[in-house]
Amino acid sequence: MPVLVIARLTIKEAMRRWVFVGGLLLGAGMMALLAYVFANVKRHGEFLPAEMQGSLVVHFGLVITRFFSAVMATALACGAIATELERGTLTLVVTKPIRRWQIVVGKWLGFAVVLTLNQLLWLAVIEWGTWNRLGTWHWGVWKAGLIGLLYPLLFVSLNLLLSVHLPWIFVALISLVFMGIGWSETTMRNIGMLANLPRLLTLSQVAGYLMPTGRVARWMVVESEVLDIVPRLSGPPGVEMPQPTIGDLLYVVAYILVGLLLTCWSFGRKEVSS
Amino acid sequence: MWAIETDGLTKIFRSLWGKPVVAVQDLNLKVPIGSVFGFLGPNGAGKTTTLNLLLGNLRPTRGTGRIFGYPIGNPEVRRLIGYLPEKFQFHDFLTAEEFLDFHARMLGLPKSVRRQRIDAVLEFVGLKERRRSKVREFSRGMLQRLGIAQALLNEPKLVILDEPTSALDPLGRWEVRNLILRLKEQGVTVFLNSHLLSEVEMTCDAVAILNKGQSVFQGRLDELLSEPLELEIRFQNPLPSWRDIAAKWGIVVSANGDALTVRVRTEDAIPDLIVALVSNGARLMSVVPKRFSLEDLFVQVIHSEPC
Repeated sequence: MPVLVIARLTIKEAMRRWVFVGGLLLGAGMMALLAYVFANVKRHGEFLPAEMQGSLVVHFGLVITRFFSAVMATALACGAIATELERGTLTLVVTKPIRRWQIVVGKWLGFAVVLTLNQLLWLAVIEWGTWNRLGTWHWGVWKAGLIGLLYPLLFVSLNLLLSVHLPWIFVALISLVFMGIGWSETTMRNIGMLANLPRLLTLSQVAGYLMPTGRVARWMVVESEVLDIVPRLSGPPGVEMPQPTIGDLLYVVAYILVGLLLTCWSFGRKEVSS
Repeated sequence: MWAIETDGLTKIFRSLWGKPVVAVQDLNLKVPIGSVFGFLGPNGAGKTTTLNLLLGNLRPTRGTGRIFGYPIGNPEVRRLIGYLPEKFQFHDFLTAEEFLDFHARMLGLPKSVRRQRIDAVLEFVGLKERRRSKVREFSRGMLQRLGIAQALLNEPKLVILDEPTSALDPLGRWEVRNLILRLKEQGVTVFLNSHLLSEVEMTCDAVAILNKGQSVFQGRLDELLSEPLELEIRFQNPLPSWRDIAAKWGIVVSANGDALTVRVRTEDAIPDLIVALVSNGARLMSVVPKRFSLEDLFVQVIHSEPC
């Protein structure tokens, strides 16, 4: 099947790129560092309780995976189509007897596999850091981490769609903007609630629709089972984190799929000059 | 049936700002099956646009095209075609074998056929010994041959080559030229887009010349270049009487100082003309034949087009 052939090549290509190896090692290194920091930080002259250390490692480890997975998804996917056509690596592929959507789905699948493997490795590092503190398996890491697989897929779909017509540099910049929009949702909501600013709350909602990374993040916080130990991780005092719903997950999945469908349609109509 | 047939094929590029650009206009091409067909034109004539229309990468604004009777733009038509673009870059971390395997899978070739075809095309292009070498280790000429190999994986009936020799040294060009001639022997139609007129003249049976998006000339090469031969003769002792003698064997095109240019009807007339001149006392310094070449035809056609 051409889709699987393209996916296989995409995986091979991605795993050779320095941004993949570098991001993987950097992310893993930062998580390991986290575990060390929380094991050695003192509060009122005393080390933090083991359970708290474990929860902090889980929570901030998952924050790091979200950040790095978004960056890695952008770095891998931003030049997937227009830039590859310009370079000539995709020229021979589009003239084969395959449909354009097969190329898009193949690339998407390839990126999804690479980013999933990446994520699993990072989760393993977080689990190691937690196990060191608690001496037991922390299932919350894996439950939250699996939901967190949706996070980079948001960026893969977005970047693939943009990369049909734009060179990689513009795709990467726009993706960074969307990253900022997604992250600003929580900040705007918290400030809006604390300062009682309805317009900021509305803006926060709009941001959440434009880039639903906050929805994934809230699910990860809940599923990571850290709030029982450190309730403040849900947000600042006086602000209650909205409970994530199945609707949130469905919206995220729909966002990813619509992005993919739009890419297939857009690339299918694109005129290519070799 | 023709290998390629177009009827009024037109492509106009429109943008939001700026005037529309007519890249190809009312192109009527007929490429015979089994021929090596040269597609010529100056830069910006619309050659690459035409190739992309035939491959289905661009949608025609007007007109139609058929490849072996099937309409262009249909992805299944690509099963009949092998293509090597002018500008290409291969995934250089793959070996030659892996690269061909990837393209063979994209063509939907089953496993048993894939292996056999990869062996066959590597043998054909002379890269069998380098099957396990990484593509990044290949020279430009080897890359070109590898590119031709991928174009031949599915045993296509039509091979489209866009400037296959432009970046090659003379040895590389010789190798590619031979590959093209061997394809012709196997009955494969080759559609060759090239700037190098001498290469086209050596390999092609027929040509079409494109200028400003329109076909201005199309025909068999042997017919187009069967113009009479011209001889430029330089004399040590130029005399007006040599002109009268030469006129008996051909047409005196020009007489300048010590040189005479004579157009003879056939090559057989040349020895008789020389004998006639020498036996009447002419002392010849040089006799240089000037054959009407494809370049002469090309320049003549392009310059005769209204600006």
